[in-house]
Amino acid sequence: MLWSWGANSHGQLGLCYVNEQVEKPTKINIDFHGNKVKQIACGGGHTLLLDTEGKLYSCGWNNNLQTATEKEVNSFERTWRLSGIVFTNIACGWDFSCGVTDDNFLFVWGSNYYGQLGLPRNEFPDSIKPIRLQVNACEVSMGLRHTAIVNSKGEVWITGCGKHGQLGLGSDKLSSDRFVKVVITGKITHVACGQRHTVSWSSDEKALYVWGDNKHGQLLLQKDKYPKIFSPQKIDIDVRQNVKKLLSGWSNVLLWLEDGTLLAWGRNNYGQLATDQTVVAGQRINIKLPEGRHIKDVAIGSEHALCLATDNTIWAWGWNEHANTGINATQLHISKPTLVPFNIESNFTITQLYCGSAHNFIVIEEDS
Amino acid sequence: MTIFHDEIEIEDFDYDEEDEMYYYPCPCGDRFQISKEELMAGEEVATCPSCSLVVKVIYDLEKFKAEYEEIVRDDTDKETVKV
Ligand SMILES: [Zn+2]
Repeated sequence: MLWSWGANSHGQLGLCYVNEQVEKPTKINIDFHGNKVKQIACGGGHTLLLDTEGKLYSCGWNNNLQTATEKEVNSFERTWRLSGIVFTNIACGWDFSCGVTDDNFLFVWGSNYYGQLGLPRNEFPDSIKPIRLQVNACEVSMGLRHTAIVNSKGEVWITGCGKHGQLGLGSDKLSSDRFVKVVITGKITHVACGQRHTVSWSSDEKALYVWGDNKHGQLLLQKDKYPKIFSPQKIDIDVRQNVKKLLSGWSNVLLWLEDGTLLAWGRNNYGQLATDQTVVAGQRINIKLPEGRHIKDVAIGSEHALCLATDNTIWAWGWNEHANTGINATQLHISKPTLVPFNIESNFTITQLYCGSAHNFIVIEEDS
Repeated sequence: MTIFHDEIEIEDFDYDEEDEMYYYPCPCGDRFQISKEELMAGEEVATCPSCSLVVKVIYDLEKFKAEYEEIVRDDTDKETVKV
């Protein structure tokens, strides 16, 4: 079962209506032909859903063809244009999208205005219907105006807007409309694109590689000394274990480690780092759920985050103007992990959670 | 004093020629917007119709005005040629 809440200005919640916001987790009455939800990806105002058979559905804002549907829809519709293709992974940027196929190729669609789909601007329109790229992609992340992929060799390839250094291709290559390899010595396993920056994790070197805008310390570097960097900078944060997830909001980053530790850094003006302390650039915050709860999953929006605990509770923090955390909207900022009010029957378990800019989804399954 | 969510250079906004508006993504999922007319009048605050966040538009008013006047002049010239 699928539930959603938060901003709904373009029907991105899949609830069959458009309004400014939905303040509480609300059940979506939909059946995916008997299949379960495998993955959800959320953009600025649109949503993609992948079922367990690899079939794709979408809803929400379609001004740049980012949903791959004929029209803009406010309930999940099958993307018939991509029927017959089995996807294993999906991602959304602000107004563009992609899917990785079961044979590791990349389909892209939506806005290519900044070359963020890796298609030559002089040969393609600004908004593009799904097209298959000869790009081998294992991991993929899409930001506001750029896209990064990791291939099977652990290389990062990147395309789109690089004005602030977010491509990491040096200070003389500030945009690209095709995928270009980023020069990194380590083998990369995780990559995350933010508004104007990129962060990645090298599993063999157990280090971060970061590049782009550092205005809010999102690269873990001193702001004054490094306002922007145009080539990957290696940062050893003394973590000697594997990474479960590396996620980026617009200007804040979450790093979830194998032992359950959740680290955060970057901008904190709305409580994005789950603390009301003043955070200096370069400082990492260790986010802990109350009463020693363990983290089962974590998701990040533009300026808020959601965390699923192993005791079937959801915790949220950050910007809350649209009740995007699911907590009473009279609280504009939530500066510590706070329980999202949600009643769940005892024989059901929350299995997945996802965030878009300011909208959220959770998947709930009946215990077998 | 206005607290700006961000400061964005004018060239980072997307311009819609039909409605003569400049747009930049807002973290709420909608877009900050400001009209060409407002910019010509020296306004520098772009607002979002769906939330309370605002951004400051970084631009040079004189240059902005001059560029538009040039475009208008070019258009007029073209029309003259057509006739
Ligand atoms: Zn907004």
